[in-house]
Amino acid sequence: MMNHSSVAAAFDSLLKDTGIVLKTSTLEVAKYSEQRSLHLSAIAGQPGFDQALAAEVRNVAQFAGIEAAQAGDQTDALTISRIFGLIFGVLAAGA
Amino acid sequence: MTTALRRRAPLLFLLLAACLCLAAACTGNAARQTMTLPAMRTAWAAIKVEATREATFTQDANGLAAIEQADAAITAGTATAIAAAPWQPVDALAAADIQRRVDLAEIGPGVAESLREELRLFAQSRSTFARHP
Repeated sequence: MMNHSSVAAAFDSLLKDTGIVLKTSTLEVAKYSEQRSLHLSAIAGQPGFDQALAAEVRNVAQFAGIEAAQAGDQTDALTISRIFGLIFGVLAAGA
Repeated sequence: MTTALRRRAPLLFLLLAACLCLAAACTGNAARQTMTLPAMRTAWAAIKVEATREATFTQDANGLAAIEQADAAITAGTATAIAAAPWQPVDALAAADIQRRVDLAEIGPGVAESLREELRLFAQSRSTFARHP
């Protein structure tokens, strides 16, 4: 399980790299990610677990209220993929 | 992480990435791009499936009509359209679908909690987006 500060640092690094700003602080996002990751760990093996994992990735993204400060469709598509990839990695590392 | 999860993780991620790229492509050429709407659109794709399944199961024509209106609002992606859509019946249908699938043991209670969390956050995102698109 990654701790709050390392998850927050990973988010900070990606945000700095992409110019993305969050409505919620990276520490809050990291805490929420850890909370949802613990939930996934607790329900592993339940019927429909795949659906829970996919839902939790979307939940972290919605919680973050991600708001881009840059323009350009292609950049945004790549950036979105990178953000969700990081979220997936954080959740999967905990689960 | 479970073995099953390890095996399926790459496929799940690819599916998510594909959905997100599609959602991002729908955001258009606005000078200031936001990722709040793509995140909402990705959540809506899942919630729409739940609500539609329940409306079809219960033969709820009004519910299906409400889902269509909600879908049009998300596609339009404007604060006005999203604020005006009939979300209450859509939310109720999605919640009923989750509970029905728990009752049928198709999904576990913990999985249902994740899906209900998605409904809660989606309602919150709608409200936030309607005020600050």
